[in-house]
Amino acid sequence: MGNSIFRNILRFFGLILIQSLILKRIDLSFGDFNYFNIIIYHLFILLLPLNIPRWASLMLAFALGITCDMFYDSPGLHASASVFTAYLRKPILKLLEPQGGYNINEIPSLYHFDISWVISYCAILTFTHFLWYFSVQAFSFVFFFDIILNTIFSFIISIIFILMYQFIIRPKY
Amino acid sequence: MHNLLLLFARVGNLILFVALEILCIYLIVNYNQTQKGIYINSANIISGSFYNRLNSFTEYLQLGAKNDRLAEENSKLLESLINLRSAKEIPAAQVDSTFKFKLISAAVINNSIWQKNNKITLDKGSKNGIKKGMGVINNEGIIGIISDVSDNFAAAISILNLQTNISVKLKKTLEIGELKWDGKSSKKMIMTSVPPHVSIIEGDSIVTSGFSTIFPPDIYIGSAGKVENDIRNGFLSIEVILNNNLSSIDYVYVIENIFAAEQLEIESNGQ
Repeated sequence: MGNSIFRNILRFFGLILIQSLILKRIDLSFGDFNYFNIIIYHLFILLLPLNIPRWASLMLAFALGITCDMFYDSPGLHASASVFTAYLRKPILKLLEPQGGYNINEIPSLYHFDISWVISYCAILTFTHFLWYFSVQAFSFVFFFDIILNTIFSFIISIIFILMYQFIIRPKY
Repeated sequence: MHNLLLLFARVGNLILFVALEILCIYLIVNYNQTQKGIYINSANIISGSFYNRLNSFTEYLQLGAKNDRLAEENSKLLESLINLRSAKEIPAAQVDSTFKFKLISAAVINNSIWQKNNKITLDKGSKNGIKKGMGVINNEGIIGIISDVSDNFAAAISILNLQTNISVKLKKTLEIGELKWDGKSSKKMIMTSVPPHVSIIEGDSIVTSGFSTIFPPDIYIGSAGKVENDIRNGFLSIEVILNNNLSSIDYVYVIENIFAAEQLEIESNGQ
């Protein structure tokens, strides 16, 4: 238990630092085409233990988002998307529940689950996270086309990084 | 109280989620300039489009009256423009006494362009001061000449008519000629009787000469197109690309030349 909390705290700050010090500075725009954004910090929410109470995951997601917002100078933006993702986590987990059910002491990572399950789990939550994030960023559905382009291209590039993280670190706790 | 606690246990997460999102939105709108701008804007987009719809509906009901008023206003403006143009050589103090054109606005109720001798019917007649022989123009060029007048209606010969013969000039060189129609295209006419020494570039402006009593001077008709030598008499004939589209005229102005009778009288005395 203590190990799990320690690992999550480490992951919290690790992901924030990677996100804000490295990934934020990567500029993937080609002329006018600047729809690539690499965002992986929400992986923290994805990798929270299965047995964590929902209210705790919401609060942690809010803390994560606000911390990230401090680096992005956009108070509330990442927090909003993170809280949304945290809220959506449970229904998605229910949707993807394997036949035998979950072992609630595990975390939804590549260490405990097979690759196709991890891909669909990460893909669904990443996509909804981005869709929410870019919608709130635009703050108006007048920019619908922009929101969709941002979501799709950022999703493509970010999901690669997220899966790389899963493969390289193979988090156990 | 017990029920309230049960309810909270059931939907507590949802309440927490909504509360956190509201907090986020509050932060976003308060601290982020872009979203603040859009927040105000979005409200405008929504309310604006609503007002727009309402307006377009009520506007539709008043369209006829509005159009009439605009046409009236236009005729006044065009009238003073034409008069000023023909009086620009005269000192300002005398301008008032030199106003010699009056404009009467009218709506086109019948129009043809596909025949050889096209005619136009207007919704105003002798009651409104329209007389035979007056010129008809719109804001883009000349339309025709009044040929018949009843109490409430007037018929005009369109310039798209084989009998048309209007005195025009090249704006640049002031060379005069006659505007005729060959019965082919509703967009093109021909300026004939231009002396062969005149140099014309495609696109030169052709305007009314103002020598007849029908049209005031310097009304833009169209631009010069191809130039051809008329073998029969050695004069040039210039294709004129009309500025106005005669197939879609709705409101026109009938021009009254106040001194027309005087001018015609002195011209016929001379012969």
